[in-house]
Amino acid sequence: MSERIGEIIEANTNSFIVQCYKLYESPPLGSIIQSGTPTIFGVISEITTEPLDPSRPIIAIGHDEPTEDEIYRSNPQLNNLLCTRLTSLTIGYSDGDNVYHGFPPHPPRIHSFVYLSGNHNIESLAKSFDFLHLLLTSGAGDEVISACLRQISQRVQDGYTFLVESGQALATELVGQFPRLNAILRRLS
Amino acid sequence: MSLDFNKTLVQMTDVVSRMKTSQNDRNLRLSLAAKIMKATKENDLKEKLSLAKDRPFLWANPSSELGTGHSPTELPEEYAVVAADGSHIDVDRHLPVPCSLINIGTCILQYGTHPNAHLSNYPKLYSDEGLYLTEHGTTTREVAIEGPVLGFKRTIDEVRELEKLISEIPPTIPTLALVDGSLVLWGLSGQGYPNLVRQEFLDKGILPILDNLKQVAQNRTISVAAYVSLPRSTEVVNALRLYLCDTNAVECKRSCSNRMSPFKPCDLPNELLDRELFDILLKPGQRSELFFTNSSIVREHYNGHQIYFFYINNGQEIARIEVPDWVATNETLVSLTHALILDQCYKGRGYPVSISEAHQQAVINGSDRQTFKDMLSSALTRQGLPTYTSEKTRSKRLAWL
Repeated sequence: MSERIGEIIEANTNSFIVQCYKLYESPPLGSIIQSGTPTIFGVISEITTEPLDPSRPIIAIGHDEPTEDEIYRSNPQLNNLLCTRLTSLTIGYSDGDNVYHGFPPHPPRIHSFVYLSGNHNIESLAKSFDFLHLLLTSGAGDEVISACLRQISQRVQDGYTFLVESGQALATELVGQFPRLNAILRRLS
Repeated sequence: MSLDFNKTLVQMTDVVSRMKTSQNDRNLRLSLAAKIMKATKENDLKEKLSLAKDRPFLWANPSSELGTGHSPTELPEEYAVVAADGSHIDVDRHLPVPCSLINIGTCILQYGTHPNAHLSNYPKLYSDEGLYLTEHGTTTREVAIEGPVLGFKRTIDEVRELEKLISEIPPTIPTLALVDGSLVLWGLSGQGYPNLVRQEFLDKGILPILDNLKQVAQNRTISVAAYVSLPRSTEVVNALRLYLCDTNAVECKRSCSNRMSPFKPCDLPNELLDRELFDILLKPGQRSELFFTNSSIVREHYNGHQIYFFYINNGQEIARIEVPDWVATNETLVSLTHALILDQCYKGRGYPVSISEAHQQAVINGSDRQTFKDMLSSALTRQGLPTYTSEKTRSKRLAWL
């Protein structure tokens, strides 16, 4: 199991929100993460850093500080009062034996631990491109889709073949949407 | 029916007009008072104050001249600031369960090579015997812990928490422990409360804590201070009043009040506040001389723990800082306290950031209070016990027509 990155603080069947344990320490956009039992897989579609208490506005405080790091050194409480949250779009789940490309019967529980998925699980997910359909219908932006595909290509054994095949799958999914298909493919090349 | 703002505004306008009329006179008196304070010689002042007794107001005893300002020293490379603040829910007779809650918020901020922060809070619910102070060995003499008495308990809990927070900082790191408010339990002076209350909050409360902190300070660099924002104290103004006074004590007691005197020249500082004078006397960053309070509660009940104070111009406002005698008589600790409080105010934009964060941890807002009541009702329902509220509360919630 890879490193634990945070906990689920909001969940429904097609997405979940994760609060990261450490400020600014979120996996990059498009990463595949997993959580819960059965294991639910998701793709990071948005990363936000904001105050823990939404009623406390953030103001500029670094006018006299020489560097950005110095702001955090002079105000160590910021690490406790700000938090990094990420939104993940669900792309499948596993019952331990098989991976299913679809929404799980139930969303993950609140406070479920969240991990970055390992190569083995990513390989299993990438055997089929059905997850692309879910991503596209969940409202994922072009940047998220291309980032996800790029990241998967770096984790599977034959990344080049994966990218070629994912381009073909996208062409099927985006029939009649040539400009969008073109935009995503440009980002993959 | 909501407040009639039209009727209120007419009265407000009248109040503000009166203030404007007296503003010029007040400014002139402030300026003159500040000049006199600056020119006052230490020995003359001490001599005059030493002869003063039995006046109808409280005055401060200066450790030096009244009007001198001191600039801050450099910050240490490594230092820590800890702070505690509290909030409470008082006993509410309209609730089905008599109980109260004290929530203590804490903040530890460590600066230097390994900056770090720890913010936390500790709510504690009191019920049954926890709601009363009972004299040892009797069941007849007891005082309910509610209203101002609950406030005393909260203050003691805040200061007690400082002890724990200090112990969490490595002993080699100079540490400032801060609380909001005063180290003097002003409310316990006079005959308003039985001895039982004074014993609980002084003899078994703040005094042993101050003893312990003094003990700890022998082996490591720590300072303890209470921070009063926008203070309304007049102790230094009253010291000036005494310095100027040539009326005998009997006449003074008959004619003067805590706020003003009808006689010249001691009517000069009438209704002026300490902070207004120090706003003229202190440049941004400076602190005043140290004074020690002449309060009867400290004199009679603090067992030799004299409480000193000084004013500081933090760049945004004049604040009053209270410190125990073992800090006030140690020049290094006074300088450390001055420099760290100033830095805290700078980082907190006019108010110490550590107290501000401790407050954020402690605060119980209106919605929290309602949730507390709802949780209490749910807990009763789960146990099959009746929940009820007073008809008065019900009628306030539902103002029917």
